[in-house]
Amino acid sequence: MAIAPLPETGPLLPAKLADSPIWLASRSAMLIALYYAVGLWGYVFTPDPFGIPLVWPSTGVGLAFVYLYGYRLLPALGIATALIIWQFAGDEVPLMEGVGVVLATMAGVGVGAWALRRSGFSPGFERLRDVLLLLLVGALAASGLAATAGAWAMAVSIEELGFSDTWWVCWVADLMGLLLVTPALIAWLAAGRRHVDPGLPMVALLTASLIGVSALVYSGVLETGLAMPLSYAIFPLVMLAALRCPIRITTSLILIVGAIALSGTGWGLGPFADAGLEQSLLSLNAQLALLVLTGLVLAALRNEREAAEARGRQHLDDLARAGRLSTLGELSASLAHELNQPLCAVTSYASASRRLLERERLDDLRDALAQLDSNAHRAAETIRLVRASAMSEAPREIAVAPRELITPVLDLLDPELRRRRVRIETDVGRSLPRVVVAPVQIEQVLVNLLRNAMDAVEMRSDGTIRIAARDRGTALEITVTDNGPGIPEERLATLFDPFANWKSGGIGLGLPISRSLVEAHGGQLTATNLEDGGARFRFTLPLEVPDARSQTPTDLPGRR
Amino acid sequence: MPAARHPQIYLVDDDPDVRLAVTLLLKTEDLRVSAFADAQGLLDTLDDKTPGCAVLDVRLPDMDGISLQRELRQRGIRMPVIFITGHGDIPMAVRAVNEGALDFLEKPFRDDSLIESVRHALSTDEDQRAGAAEMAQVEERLATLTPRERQVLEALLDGKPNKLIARDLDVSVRTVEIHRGNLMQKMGAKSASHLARLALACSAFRDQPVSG
Repeated sequence: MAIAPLPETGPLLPAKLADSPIWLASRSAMLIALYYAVGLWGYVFTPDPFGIPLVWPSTGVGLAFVYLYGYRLLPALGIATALIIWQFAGDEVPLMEGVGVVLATMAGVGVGAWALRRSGFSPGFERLRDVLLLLLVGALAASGLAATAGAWAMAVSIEELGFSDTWWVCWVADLMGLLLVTPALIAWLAAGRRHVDPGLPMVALLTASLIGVSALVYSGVLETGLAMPLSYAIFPLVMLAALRCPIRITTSLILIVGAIALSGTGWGLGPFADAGLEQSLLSLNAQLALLVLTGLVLAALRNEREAAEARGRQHLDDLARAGRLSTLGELSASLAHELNQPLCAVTSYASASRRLLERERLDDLRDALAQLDSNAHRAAETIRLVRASAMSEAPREIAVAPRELITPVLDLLDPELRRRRVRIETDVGRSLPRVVVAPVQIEQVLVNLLRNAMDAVEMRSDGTIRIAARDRGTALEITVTDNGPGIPEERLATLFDPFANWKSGGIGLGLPISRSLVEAHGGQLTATNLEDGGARFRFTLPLEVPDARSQTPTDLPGRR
Repeated sequence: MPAARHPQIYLVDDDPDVRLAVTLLLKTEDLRVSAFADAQGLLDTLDDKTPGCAVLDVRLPDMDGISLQRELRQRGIRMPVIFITGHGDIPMAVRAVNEGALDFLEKPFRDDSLIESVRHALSTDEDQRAGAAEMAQVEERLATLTPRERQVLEALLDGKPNKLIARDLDVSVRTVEIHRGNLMQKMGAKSASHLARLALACSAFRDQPVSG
């Protein structure tokens, strides 16, 4: 079986950009700087005399960069690894072994990045399998190989250390570092899907709480008996972040917590520092690993649920639209046939009559004209029947307050408004008088107008729709105003004509139907462009003036 | 009703008003019309000898117009077909024309369009019938040739000169010339090229591969 070659560059980058040498140099510099920085951090907080860090995030940095930007960053990774070795163990590790460590690290990260790309890992952590893939690849490929290299170097240089014990410590350190930094790096650097903004107050509150609790636990101000249970208070906060915040925020918060915990423990502070090297390393890392997994798994599950809900909604919308379209299509086809038959007879009789007249066959002509007349009436009868059946199901009319009309429509459209990031401003007073209407029909009008407005502001980032109701004495006036580009001048005249305004996904009947529904209620629907851009649709509904109208409300014009 | 022997327009439409109106229109042009409400009525009336053309509605109560056209062809009725429809849809028109329909008119049509189309159909039918009659005559004449004359004719159609034919058939050149004169006379051919044209118009020779 032929296997397609892997893309040279990261899966998320346009090839052109990734091709430029400046781009490659800048990413390589970023990788080296970050790798070196977290390596420094890892060495500073090493609690044991042999210099084995509790956590080694450099491997995770390498994995994130090579996964995102391609194998061309592997040389930079090699340089960064060599720098670290030379800086901290240059006098202890022989040259050939040093080269071996560099190559093993590059191989581990390379294989890890390859596995992530090959397995269809998505950098948004939107599915549970992405989280599991990262865990698996990190544990087996990246950390496994890098830890082997690290342990080997340690065992070679320091005689007191056994290879297997060192390997175990290195592996845990590598995997822990990877779990902490890789998700945050990938989430920030990959141009992933944007999530609904949880709002600055929520993010600020979560950040402050997590930093506060972590600082309290790992600063050593509390006794172990108090600090240890309190360390679990971090879990609900991370869970809340995973459920409410974008993955970038969640992974960053976990990274901050991890940094505080590891730094504190590295300084010999906090509940995990007292138990000695091996024990403290294992306990703290186990807790941090569980924290990372809790956050990532919850975020992925939330994403999966949201995606399923969105698909469900889209599916329902499509069904409803297809239903409306096919009914309309069938209706218009059968209507065309019902009308074309008598019209065919009419035109045939008319042509025949002209010929009969030319030949002065007056008796035949009289018959033909009578037939023509009766067929013209047959066509008219068809139209009358269609109108009658269309109007036969006039919904019940009741007196409702304007708010009661508008609120359910906004509730209905809320998911769509949020998805399309459109802001809604409502100005509908509580004291407005009631109107007597068929709520379903007026709601239909409002849905049509709001959907049009949403389409109009589609291209704007600050799309806003304003819906307002006013008491104008004899009528209630409802306006729907958007800040879109306005209605093109040439379309204003035909805006309410059926089929005059086809657009993708629409059939051009929304406005004509809306107008006839408003007119059936004795009101008017008009459209204007605002001077400073945007369009305004305005419709009126007659208000009951006491004693001025004694008819029943169903006696509206145009209604059967 | 026995099939008429003079050309007629056979109209099939289930709508009585359309049927009456179109019939009247065609009659004012001095055309003969027989109208039917369904496909079966037409099939019961026509045979492969009936001259004329058919004007069919695409939707009929017992079978759609395109199937009716196919049924007519299967029965050897080669009469030209014009479709009229109240549901003008392009895929259906394309299908009808691909299956051999002469024209496709959307209701309501202009009177001139229908009449022009019908006249064109009638003359097409006449040409087809004349061609068929001529071919029948050639077949009849071919049947009167003796086996030897037929052999000579086949050799001539292969482009062989008399000498070669004489050698192939193991007879004298003079005998070949006599056979040749006889078969030219029987076929009513004025020249060798006329003979070839007549023979090749006939199905017995048209499909015969040219051998060296």
